[in-house]
Amino acid sequence: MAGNLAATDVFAAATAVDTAIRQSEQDHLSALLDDLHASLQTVLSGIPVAPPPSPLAAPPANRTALDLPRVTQALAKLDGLLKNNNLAAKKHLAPLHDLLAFAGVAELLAQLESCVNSLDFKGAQAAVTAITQELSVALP
Amino acid sequence: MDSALSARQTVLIVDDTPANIEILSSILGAEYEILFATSGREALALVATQSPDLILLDIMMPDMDGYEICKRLKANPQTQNVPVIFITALSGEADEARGLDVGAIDYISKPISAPSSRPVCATTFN
Repeated sequence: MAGNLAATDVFAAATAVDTAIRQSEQDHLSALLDDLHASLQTVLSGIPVAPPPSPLAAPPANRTALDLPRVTQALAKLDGLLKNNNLAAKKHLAPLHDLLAFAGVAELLAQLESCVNSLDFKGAQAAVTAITQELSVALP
Repeated sequence: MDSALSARQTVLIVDDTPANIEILSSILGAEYEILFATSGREALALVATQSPDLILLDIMMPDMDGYEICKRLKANPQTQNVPVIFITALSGEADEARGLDVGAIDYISKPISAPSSRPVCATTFN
């Protein structure tokens, strides 16, 4: 482990402590343990501390990768179908879901899907409006 | 795909029970473009901007019953030629006569099923 961290001082100090214990050199042991502690602190302070990734965390929004023309076209098509109470709107949810997978609008998408599936098309239109505002896109 | 969709005939389903709309849509959706309204007012607003080729109309709805909606459709030159078929649990001769009297061309009886509703729509278009 010390070798993996390039912690040669820790390795040397630990070896010295080990030798002192084996040889019952009690007089030097305290000083050697202090050396080991100091070298360990040096190594530990050099390791960056980062929180482990949460498995439940939403994927980070990657709006630079959004295909905005296609997103705008898909949202406009869906909005038109919703305005006309056209049940073909249901078929347009899946492609939109794929286009917006990493757009950071998962909650609004879920709301949109819920509204469409319960035939609350006015609520669905409100969700589309919220998504367009969130993504700063203007529908034609 | 859009041109294929727009070439299909459009059926407007008017029913205040979303489950009935879902059932009819699952039966007819493969053949027709399906629009829906859950109230009489919504249906009348929709036909003002859309031009359905057929209207399936529930009779018993809270805001305006099917008979009244049908009367208004038949009184409007823009919609008077759109065929109307009633969807109803009412099966008496008087109810049927009243429906035909206000301009409906046929009935689909509840509970809704594919064998009863698909041929009625097909006959209308043929």
